Amino acid sequence: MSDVSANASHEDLARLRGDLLRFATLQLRDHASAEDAVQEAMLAAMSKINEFRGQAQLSTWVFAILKNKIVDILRSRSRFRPAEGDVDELPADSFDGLFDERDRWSADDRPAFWGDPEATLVQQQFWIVLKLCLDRLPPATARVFMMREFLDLEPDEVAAELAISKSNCGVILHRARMALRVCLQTRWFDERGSRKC
Amino acid sequence: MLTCKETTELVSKEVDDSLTLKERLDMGLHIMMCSACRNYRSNIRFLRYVCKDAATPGRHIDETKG
Repeated sequence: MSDVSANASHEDLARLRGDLLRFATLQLRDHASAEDAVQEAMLAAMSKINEFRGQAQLSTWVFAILKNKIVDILRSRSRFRPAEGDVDELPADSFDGLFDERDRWSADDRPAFWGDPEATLVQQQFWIVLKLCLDRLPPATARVFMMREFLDLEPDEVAAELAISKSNCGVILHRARMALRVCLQTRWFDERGSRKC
Repeated sequence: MLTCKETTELVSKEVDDSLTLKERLDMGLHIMMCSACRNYRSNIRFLRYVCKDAATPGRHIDETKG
């Protein structure tokens, strides 16, 4: 028999709360809904706490529950908005300034090399900047991006959830990435100067 | 020859869908010669990587302490 302490405990669950809340807040953008979603996911996990072998299994499970809750919330929110309007949040010409008249990168806006993501990930400050950049995305654009990159849905699943076309979804994702890249470049990488290897 | 702007669109398409053989060759050729677009593509991969990481349980301590 393996030791009893291998079972997940309420303390393990409590320790996850910060992570869960951070994850939910990033996507839902409002603290109250994030708290609610986390609360529900934790209650669901608590009722099955004895079935988990250790922290790793518990956290995988509770994150999966939370992701489902977030998809539900995002889906219900999208019902109250006209989907056709979403693509215009960041209009086609939003990024024209980055390119010259022949659609080549302008000298000042040429993307720089960002180095190894692992080295960036360990810097707590980076997460604050990422959140700031995500918060600056228009809401419907952020929703599409979150569903794709954080909730790990395929583009056609995102399109189906939000009742938009797949090509519309592709355009929104492209513009979200353009905007986030510029934001991270100016707010994080430029600020740090050439502190990369 | 693709423009840089068109290349950025293909970078997203590569991630979300798939490229046709022609698109793949065009992008490959452009990226070989254009370091800015090469960096753009790697920035987008970087972005995906960190998002994936943020969605992975238990890798971070509570940011509110920061």
